Amino acid sequence: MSSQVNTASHPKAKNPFLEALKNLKKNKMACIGGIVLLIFIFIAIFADFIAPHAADTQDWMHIMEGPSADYPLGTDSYGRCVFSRIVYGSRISLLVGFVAVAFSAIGGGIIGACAGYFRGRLDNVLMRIMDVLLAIPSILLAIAIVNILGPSLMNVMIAVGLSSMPSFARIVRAAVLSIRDSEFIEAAVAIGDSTAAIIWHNILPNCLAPIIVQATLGVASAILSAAGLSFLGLGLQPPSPEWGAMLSEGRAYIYIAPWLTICPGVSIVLVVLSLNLFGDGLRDALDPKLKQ
Amino acid sequence: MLKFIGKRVLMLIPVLIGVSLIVFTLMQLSPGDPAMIILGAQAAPEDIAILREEMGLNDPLVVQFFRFLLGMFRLDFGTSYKDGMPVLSKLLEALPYTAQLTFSAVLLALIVGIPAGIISATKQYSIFDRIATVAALIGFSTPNFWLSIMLILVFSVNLQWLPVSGTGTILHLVLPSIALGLQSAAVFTRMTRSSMLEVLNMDYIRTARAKGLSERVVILKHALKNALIPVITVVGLQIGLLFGGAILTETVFAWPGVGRLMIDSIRAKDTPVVQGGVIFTASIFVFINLLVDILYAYVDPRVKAQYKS
Repeated sequence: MSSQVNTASHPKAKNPFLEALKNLKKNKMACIGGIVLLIFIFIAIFADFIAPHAADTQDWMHIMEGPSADYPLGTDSYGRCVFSRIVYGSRISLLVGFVAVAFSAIGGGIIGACAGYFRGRLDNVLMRIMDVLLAIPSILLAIAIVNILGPSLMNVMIAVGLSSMPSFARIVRAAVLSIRDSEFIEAAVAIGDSTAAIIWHNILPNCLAPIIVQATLGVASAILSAAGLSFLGLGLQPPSPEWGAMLSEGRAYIYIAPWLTICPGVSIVLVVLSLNLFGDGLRDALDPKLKQ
Repeated sequence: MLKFIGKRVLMLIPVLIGVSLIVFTLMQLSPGDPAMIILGAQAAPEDIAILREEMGLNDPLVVQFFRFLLGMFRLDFGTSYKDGMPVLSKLLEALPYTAQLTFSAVLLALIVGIPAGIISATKQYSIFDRIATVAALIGFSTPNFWLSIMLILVFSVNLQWLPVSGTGTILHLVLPSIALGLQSAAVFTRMTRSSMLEVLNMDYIRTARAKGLSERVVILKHALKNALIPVITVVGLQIGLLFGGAILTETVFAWPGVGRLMIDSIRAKDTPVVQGGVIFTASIFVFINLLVDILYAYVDPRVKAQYKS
């Protein structure tokens, strides 16, 4: 995101990012999404202070009890505090979402930028590879990758990141193609700037808008995929308070302790919804053409 | 038109070879010796060595890949490590279930999504529009495996109207279809709304209104036809995605489709079934996309015109 600051300090024209921020402030839904997202980020950072209990403290005197003053969202089959686990779980979900997207944005960004800038044979080869990857449903691809690497936090991030790389590559390529023939690029080439410098300083900052939008929406789907993997038992393993894993554990007790499945699910929906609201607003704000 | 179709069909071949290469590589990298999986962990090392030789596992990887590829073109995906059954027959046995689920989910999504999108667009910023927009976003953000559990909780556990899981009657299909279709319904609503809004701003719609046509005719006869063109692409994409996405729904509802077969096979390290399943699903996905492209060229003369020259 550091290049965002670069663009912001660019003297050329009106500051597009301040302009976008102004547009964004007018969008009520996007603001609500942004605020909810900030609350979850706050919870994730200060989990130690917010959670009344540790994520794995077991209280055998209070097993599968409904919500109470001591346990705001009840306890699970090991007498662990569901609220505390959800608070700690927000760390995992947000971390997986952001790291996986950073991973796929960097990988997909480089591939897309090279394909769009160099065009010709390289573009053809890279994009056909991306087409092939897109032909495999991303959840299947992620399952196959986790299957090889084994279930762990890092591997879930790699699997989810890799499986969403092709869509990033496509978006960046399209953006690069659209400005590649601009006069200011020609000027940079004429001055004798290196190709890497042109891509980094001239092209990427101008492609940031679609990348940021895709990244925001990508975090939402990455969180969903990671939760799905854990739910299938292929992601983070049960003792960890990952929301998908909690859902999978709670499913067995749906008759007697429905809060074990309701609470983690609502958390997933809230985070993903806030990201989608914010991402939608961001797209409208950054690209007024798309606004309906 | 034939040239266009031919060109698109030919383009499928490299994609499918690419998919096979990726799947083959992924399976080579996954842990576990196939011979050991078949014979069990207690098998004598000599027996394992013999079986490895028989299965051609000692051949160079390139040879193994071409053997695999050749088999694939003859629709031979090998046999299951678990029960020795041909992978293809296992997949074909599961396919109707996934197809049932996918199509009823998409149908449901179309029935809900397209009218909601049309009403939203024609009554922009009305209360209906706002509710539909928010509902679509919530639907879009809800993981289908969680929705599945919630539906079971409400309709099977509490109200006891519908069965918890399994197959057999049409009633068994209701909850899985809703769970799988909700996200698509949300996508269709959003897509129809934005596409409709775009069309409604066009000159020919103004002309139609100026001619004195009733609003009903303008919207349903003139606007909708063009507005649905981009929706077709999305419908195709969703059918393909649901085929893959059904894995989670199938797992929750114990639905004996392709997705659950694959998850069971991954757990049992039954590589040929996983391999075959991924290629099978990917083939269906690209095939549906091909159909959509052809349909697209059919309904949008501009696409066809590009290939006329």
